[in-house]
Amino acid sequence: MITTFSDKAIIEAIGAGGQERQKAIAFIYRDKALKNQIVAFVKNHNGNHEDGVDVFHEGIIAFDKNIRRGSYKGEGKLKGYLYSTCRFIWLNKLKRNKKIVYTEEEAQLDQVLHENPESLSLAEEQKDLLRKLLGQLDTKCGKILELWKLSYSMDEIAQQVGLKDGSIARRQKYNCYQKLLQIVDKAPNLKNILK
Amino acid sequence: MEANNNHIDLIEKYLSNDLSVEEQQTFDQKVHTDSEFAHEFEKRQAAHIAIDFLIAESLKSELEALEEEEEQGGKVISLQKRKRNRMVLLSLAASLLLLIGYFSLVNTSGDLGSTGPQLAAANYEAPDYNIRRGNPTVDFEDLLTKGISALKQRNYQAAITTLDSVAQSNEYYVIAQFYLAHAYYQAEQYTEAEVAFDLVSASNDIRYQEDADWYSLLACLAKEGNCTEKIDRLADDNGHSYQQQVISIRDGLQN
Repeated sequence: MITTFSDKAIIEAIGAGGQERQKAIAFIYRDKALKNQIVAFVKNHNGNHEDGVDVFHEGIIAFDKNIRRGSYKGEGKLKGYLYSTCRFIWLNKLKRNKKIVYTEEEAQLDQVLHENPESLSLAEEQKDLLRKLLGQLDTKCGKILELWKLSYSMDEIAQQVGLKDGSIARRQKYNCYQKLLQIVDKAPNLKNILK
Repeated sequence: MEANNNHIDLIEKYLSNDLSVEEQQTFDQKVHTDSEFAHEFEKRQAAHIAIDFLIAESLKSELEALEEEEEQGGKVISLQKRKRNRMVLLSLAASLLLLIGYFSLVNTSGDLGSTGPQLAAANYEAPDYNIRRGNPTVDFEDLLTKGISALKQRNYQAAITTLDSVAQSNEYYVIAQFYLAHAYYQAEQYTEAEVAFDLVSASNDIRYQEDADWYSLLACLAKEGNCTEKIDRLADDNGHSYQQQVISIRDGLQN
């Protein structure tokens, strides 16, 4: 059965994390009208269908992160916010590739909704460094930390990664987090690059 | 120690958006006035950014896969089910890597069997000399710091004497025993090392317990003791961080 969500319910579900977040994201993903609108915008601005779909995905990822961080202020319709996020992502991409001049008017329009536009996605340099560092963490550890940050219970984490019970998941989470902190601490440039 | 733990809890709450507006303001002031606090905050903030990056990468690949399925007109699998399928694949990959690792070990040792001391020597790694989370900043003159410093310089007898003098009533006793055990191990006094590691293991200090279990086993192997009970217990503990290494050792001894 398909679960339907109001704007408020989507925000609450993503904020709460766990399986409710999964359902809310799936609900957004299934919004064909929104997706088509975003793809159309990208196609009208020097992009193709594939670019449009990528931007839709990136928009969902940024939207998820902003809600979890509490940086979405809840102003206006959620669909409008997501559309604006996607438009901003695409125009910025074009700007970086020097394919368009991002007009003041357009920039102001998006700044209204995105006080800190850089927070929408990490730069390639930052991503490369993070991939390299996270390569030192085993996959299971990474998964445990992901689920922990997404507010899954220890029992749910145990179930998802194949551990005996929640207390073992708690112990593993502690060890994995310590390992990650050590990795971060040993990377002198990381904190500056991520600023 | 309590003050430090309070700092860590406060930082984690901040990073999880669990502080009120007033608490956030106090927090921001503290970051600007307390350099040690600011350092801990920056480290944990970077770790959270890294975890967010993992979350974004996972979500990206899930959305891409859903897109692909949709384009091919296939049935859309839920994100949740997809995750479980991926974990099965990851488990298979991990098993394969273990097999490769095992056969590498067999090939490099030249024959199928290995002795306890050989396996212990191949697996022992010196500990991380940074005292773990939840501990206070230790004064340089402190016995613990002196002992660890001697151990790092491979001055084992000085390390043993210093670390052994930390009283049982001292709040750093378990940590001192952990490094004392390493000092014994590196000085090839394996029986003493095993006893000290067992003591740490029995203390239930989550920061050191699993490491102590593992090193105690290595000390047991190094002295050519009967380690069957230890091996079986760790090899059967699905949640233990060293389970796979212990299984490899058990296989190595059986062949």
